[in-house]
Amino acid sequence: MNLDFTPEDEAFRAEVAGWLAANLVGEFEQLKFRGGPGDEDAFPEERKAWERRLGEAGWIGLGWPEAHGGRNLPLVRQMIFNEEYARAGGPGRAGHIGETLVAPTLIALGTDAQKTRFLPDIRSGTEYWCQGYSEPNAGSDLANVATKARLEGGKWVLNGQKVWTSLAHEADWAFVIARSEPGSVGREGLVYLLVPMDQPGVTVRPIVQMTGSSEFNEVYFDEAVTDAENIVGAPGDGWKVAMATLSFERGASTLGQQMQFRNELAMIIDVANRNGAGRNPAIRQRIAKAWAQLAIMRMNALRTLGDSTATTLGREGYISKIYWATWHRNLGELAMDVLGEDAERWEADPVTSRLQKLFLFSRADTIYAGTNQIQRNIIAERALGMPREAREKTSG
Amino acid sequence: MDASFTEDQEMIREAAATYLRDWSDRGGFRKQVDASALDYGSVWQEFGIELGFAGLTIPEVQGGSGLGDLARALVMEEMGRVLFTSPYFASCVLAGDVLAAVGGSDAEGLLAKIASGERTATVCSLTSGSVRSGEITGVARNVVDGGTADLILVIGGDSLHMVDASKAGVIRSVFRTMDLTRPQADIKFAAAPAELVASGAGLSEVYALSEARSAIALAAEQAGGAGAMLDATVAYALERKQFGRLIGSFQAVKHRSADMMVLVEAARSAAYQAAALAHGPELFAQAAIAKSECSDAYFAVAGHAIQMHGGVGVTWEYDMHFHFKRARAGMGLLGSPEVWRERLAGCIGLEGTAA
Ligand SMILES: Cc1cc2nc3c(=O)[nH]c(=O)nc-3n(C[C@H](O)[C@H](O)[C@H](O)COP(=O)(O)OP(=O)(O)OC[C@H]3O[C@@H](n4cnc5c(N)ncnc54)[C@H](O)[C@@H]3O)c2cc1C
Repeated sequence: MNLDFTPEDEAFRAEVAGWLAANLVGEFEQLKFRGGPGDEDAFPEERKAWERRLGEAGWIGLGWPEAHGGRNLPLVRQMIFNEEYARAGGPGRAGHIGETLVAPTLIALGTDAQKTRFLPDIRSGTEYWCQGYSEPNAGSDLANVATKARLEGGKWVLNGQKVWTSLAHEADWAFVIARSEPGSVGREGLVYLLVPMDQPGVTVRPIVQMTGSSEFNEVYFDEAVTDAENIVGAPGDGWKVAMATLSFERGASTLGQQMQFRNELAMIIDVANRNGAGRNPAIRQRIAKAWAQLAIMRMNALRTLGDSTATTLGREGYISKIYWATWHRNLGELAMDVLGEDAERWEADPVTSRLQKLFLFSRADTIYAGTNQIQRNIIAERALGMPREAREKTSG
Repeated sequence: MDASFTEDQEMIREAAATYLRDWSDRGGFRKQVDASALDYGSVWQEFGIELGFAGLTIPEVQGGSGLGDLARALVMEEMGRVLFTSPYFASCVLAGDVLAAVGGSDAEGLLAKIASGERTATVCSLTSGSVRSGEITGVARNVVDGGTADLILVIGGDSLHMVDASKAGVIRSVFRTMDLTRPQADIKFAAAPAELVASGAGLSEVYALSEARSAIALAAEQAGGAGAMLDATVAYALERKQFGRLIGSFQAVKHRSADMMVLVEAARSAAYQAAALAHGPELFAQAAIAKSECSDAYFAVAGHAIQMHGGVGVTWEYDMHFHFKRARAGMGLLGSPEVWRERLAGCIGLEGTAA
């Protein structure tokens, strides 16, 4: 075990930091620390311009194979990039769904034509994606999706409703799981389709969240179409492909998030020093505990990385989602307690505003990407080998 | 950047685990606590002396193996799993770390004795009394292994003395501890002969360093105890039936087991990281992180383990209460979670002190 970075890694870190310092200026200066959780509707067009700038400089697709325009960088380098990005206050990534979910799925399971069509525009920061999984009756029980897809005249035709679709209003394309075999239930009979958003058959309706902003949407398909070749895998493989995509959710993108969390904690410490809350022994204990657990989160991620050759997750890999989500939610509560009565002054200043949004948005952290309860089921069943939950026949 | 263990570290862990499993199968800590007084004799002969674990982290020039704190953390983790009762913690960790931090030829001579396992040691400070040239008069309370250690290191503000426990003027009263797996004693020194090992104004900082290192080792032991409690709970949940099904199929039981695993893996990450960084500038912060989080995790997991076992969980026959008691005792040893968190608060930019 050696927790130091190599000189080559440090040089890469300096390169990233230098590039960010030179580029997060001028028109992009205003984007610093913006567009994060609870703030996704800040500067949408400017953040897309920023994505293009990232793409031009080769900072998108760091881990992809070179054949697909990536740089084939190991996870450690990807983590370093994400850490420096957060440290510099890089804005919330408008393109992260395409880069971290769609692209790895296509690289692993897509056709050559799909890779050629879609990867370059993700890599250049010019095309945006959203994830069409959840439905009103298919949340944790994702296999219960009811959106229908039929192949007709060389096109897939979709009817149904998706919900909680993040950034659908900014997206050019959606990846959607739908039911192509009439009468099938659960994990059988599903397709995984790539669907263009800009068409008459697709309606996007924003949903206002408790933060007051609208990060997610309802998406209606009413005879929406996509070309027959825009299927990943074969008809009936939809579940398998959908799960492959989810496995990328716990990849490198979360490795740098501790740096974003550290920024938030540093901001809370600043407030505590300023307003005297930091002299309250109970608050000091909670801040110190938050710090301790953040350090653990990072080490835990490094342990997961250390095992990059393993094909199954080690136990430490299984805890990361529930650990960071719960930690972040607690941090939001701590932030409000540190603000004290100022917590009630809505958006009084940029710091208060960021902490309020952190407090509110972090309630979602323990819900999306597998709720805490679902995470506990996964840990118990897959890591600890305990019996599986009873399931209705109608579902997966 | 590589957070995996070296082959040497894995080997030393496996060697310790093999011995400790066998020790456990031969009666383990139960044999010790059932006896009227702990008898470390045979276990120390085998583990400390013959297998050489007494010298694990002590430099080779003093007869040890010179392995690092991470190897020690792995060994301590394995010890924690089986509630190993031995002089290792007091002698090689507490006393060994003080001597290593203090340095000098007298300290090195004592380290060599500890490394061979021939003599065992412990550390205390006086709650009242005084050290005069050549002799000590006073009282030390709650000394770990105070009833069995051959050598007693007495730390004072600007001095370190060694008292040979066999000498006249050393009166040890062993009391029954709630945690039966780690005995303590009060020691009365009545003009006991004392050798000066080191002196100087900077000693209290040196003690703080060695305490932090020892706290990391203890944290690793706590992570091991927590891991054992998780495993015992899952095993029980997969064998005990109620309402016609395994209790492990109830979601309430599964979810609490999952929460236990989260605590265990986080504790292991904390202990490994702290051990890996124990000789760097982050020592204090890392000790704070590891000792506070591992103490909390062990106590919580041991408590959950009792609950998940139902009635048998509160019986003497099952092991859970021994872990629960050791978890409670370990919280207070070498600084409580609250104490360490307050220290950490001072390292992370939080101004002032608690009002
Ligand atoms: C901010 C945000 C962004 C999102 N973005 C997207 C997106 O872009 N695309 C997308 O497809 N989806 C998205 N989601 C949806 C998200 O994946 C679902 O909300 C999540 O899977 C939970 O589903 P649900 O909301 O239907 O809740 P339900 O599944 O109905 O859960 C309700 C409660 O029941 C509990 N529960 C359910 N099943 C079990 C069980 N088996 N055992 C124990 N407890 C159980 C849950 O833990 C929860 O507490 C997003 C959600 C949020 C909050």
